[in-house]
Amino acid sequence: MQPRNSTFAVLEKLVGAVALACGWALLALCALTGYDIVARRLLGHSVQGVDEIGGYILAITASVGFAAALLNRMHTRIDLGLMIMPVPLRAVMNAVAAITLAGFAIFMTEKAWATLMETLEFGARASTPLQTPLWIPQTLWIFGIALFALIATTMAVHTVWLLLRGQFGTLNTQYGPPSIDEETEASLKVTTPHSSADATIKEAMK
Amino acid sequence: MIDFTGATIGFILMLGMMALGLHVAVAIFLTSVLGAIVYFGPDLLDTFATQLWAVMNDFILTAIPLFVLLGELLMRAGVTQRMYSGLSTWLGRLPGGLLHTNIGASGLFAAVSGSSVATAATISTVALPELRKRGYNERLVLGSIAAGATLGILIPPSVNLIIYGALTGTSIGQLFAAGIVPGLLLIGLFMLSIAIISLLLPGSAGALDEAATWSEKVKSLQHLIPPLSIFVVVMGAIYTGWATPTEAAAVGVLMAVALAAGNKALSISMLHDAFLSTVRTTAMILLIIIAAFYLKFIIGILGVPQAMTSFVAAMALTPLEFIFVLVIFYLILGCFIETLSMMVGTIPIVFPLVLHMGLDPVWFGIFLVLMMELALITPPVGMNLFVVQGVRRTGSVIDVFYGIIPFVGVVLFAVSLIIAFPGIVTWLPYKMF
Repeated sequence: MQPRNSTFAVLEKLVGAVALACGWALLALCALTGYDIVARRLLGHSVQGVDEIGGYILAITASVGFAAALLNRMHTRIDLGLMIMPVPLRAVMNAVAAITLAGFAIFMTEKAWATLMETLEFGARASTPLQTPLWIPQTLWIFGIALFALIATTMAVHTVWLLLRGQFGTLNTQYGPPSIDEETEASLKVTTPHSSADATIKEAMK
Repeated sequence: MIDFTGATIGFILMLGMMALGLHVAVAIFLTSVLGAIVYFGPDLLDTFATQLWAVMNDFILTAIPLFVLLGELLMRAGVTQRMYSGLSTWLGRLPGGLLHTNIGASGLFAAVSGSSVATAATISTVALPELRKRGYNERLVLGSIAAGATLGILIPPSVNLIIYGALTGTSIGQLFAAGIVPGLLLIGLFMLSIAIISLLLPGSAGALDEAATWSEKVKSLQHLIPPLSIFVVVMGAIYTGWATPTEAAAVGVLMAVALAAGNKALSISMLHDAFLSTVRTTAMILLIIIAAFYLKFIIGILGVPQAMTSFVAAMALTPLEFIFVLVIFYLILGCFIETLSMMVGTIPIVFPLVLHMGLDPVWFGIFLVLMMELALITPPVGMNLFVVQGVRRTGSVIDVFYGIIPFVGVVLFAVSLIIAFPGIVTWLPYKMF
């Protein structure tokens, strides 16, 4: 649909695959938590470190999600000001937004890297019963943040390129915040019943 | 140390960056960086590293992806239409007919999905054609859906309340408990106003259904009990102390998977859709939260809370006057800024003042969420109004603006009620914990 998609196709696939893995990890965490509650209340023992693992899963999920959300233009922006700007100025602001976001992402990567280096230097472990060597979750965490920075930077360069070539329309479509109609559209796609459930629902509505 | 003027300039700069269309997280982050560099120098930026890891692997915040996943699964589990038809069996005979179903179904769906956009869109798709066919006053229909869809951020489990709790160090269990009574109150007030309008303007509601027989009513429960039972188990587990909010969310997810399986809506592709959506939404929220935690940290070092409190103390406001100022402040801000950003961007500054004025943090959380609900439905930019209009596709958004007026009045009335009687909010949480 958009030329941007081909540029980012490989990255999109990678991000999508890791995001799915995170989803399965969340579901597994739920199962583990469910078991832990039953074990704790009824069986008199408990699974160690579910909360700790949950924390790691959040860190990794969110860091990978940064890139996934970026590819779907989901990071929140206020479009009120943009809507009243003339097209060229809007294009400039969309580029500025892309550039500052890339800056933020790079800054995050740098600081996350510093954290990992410190962990490795001191061989830091979590102060928990699991004593997880922190470099394991932190490496995955950095991977996500770095991916976010990579994609954000590529996008920022792309916006500058579009700006220099005067392709304001393309820039605004690809890098502007999604309109409310697009968001509505997206959430309807979700809740419109799946074909399998469709018949049952018609039955229920009768 | 910063003075009041400096802090105000910083806040205005932050709003300005947001208004220019920078990402909200970036605007909050750059404001923090600016404060750190101007008043302390760039070395202070190194603290971001520790903050980043600490925030991102916080088990309390793990509740966010889990509740989001719970909502995503339920949205795909084919419960909406079932819930709507189930509720109409029970509420269809009240004056105002299916309008009450809009409120009830929106409230229930919003509570489980946690997203007011999804709620407004979904309920509109189900309700608009049906109510148009039956000759309901279209404006009132539109208003009732847009208003009902705001309930999700107040009725627990609410992701917004989790974020508020994490940022202010308030108990999430207490916040959830505090949302229940005001949530029910608001549903009641919405329905009361619909009934009054329908009685005053007899043409506004369409033909009422035949009264459902008791066997129909009982049968319809099969569509209502599953989503309700998820709500009851999740909240029950938190209140009885069996589980933390995060653990309760995990149990909710397991129940949602079972429910989807029961409705024959469970498949790998359905799970994968829900996963992708969950990961993106979580990341969107987390990016803003990371920036907000950093802002809170920098603001604390700069002494903004002290500067603000001494300024407010000098004005010698009574708590009531202070709350009134807040109402105006959030009403205006809500016209321009997306609700989550509004909450997260103002808490670091406003919350210390709230404590200084002796207001209850749990009460303030609910107050803030009510102000967010207002922001979602106040013209000219209330998000829900445009979502409903987007599904409707015909006519002008002005119709939605007219339709929402009574409901804006109702929410404002609810705000004044919790100000006059704070016990509406605080009674349940302090009784339970």
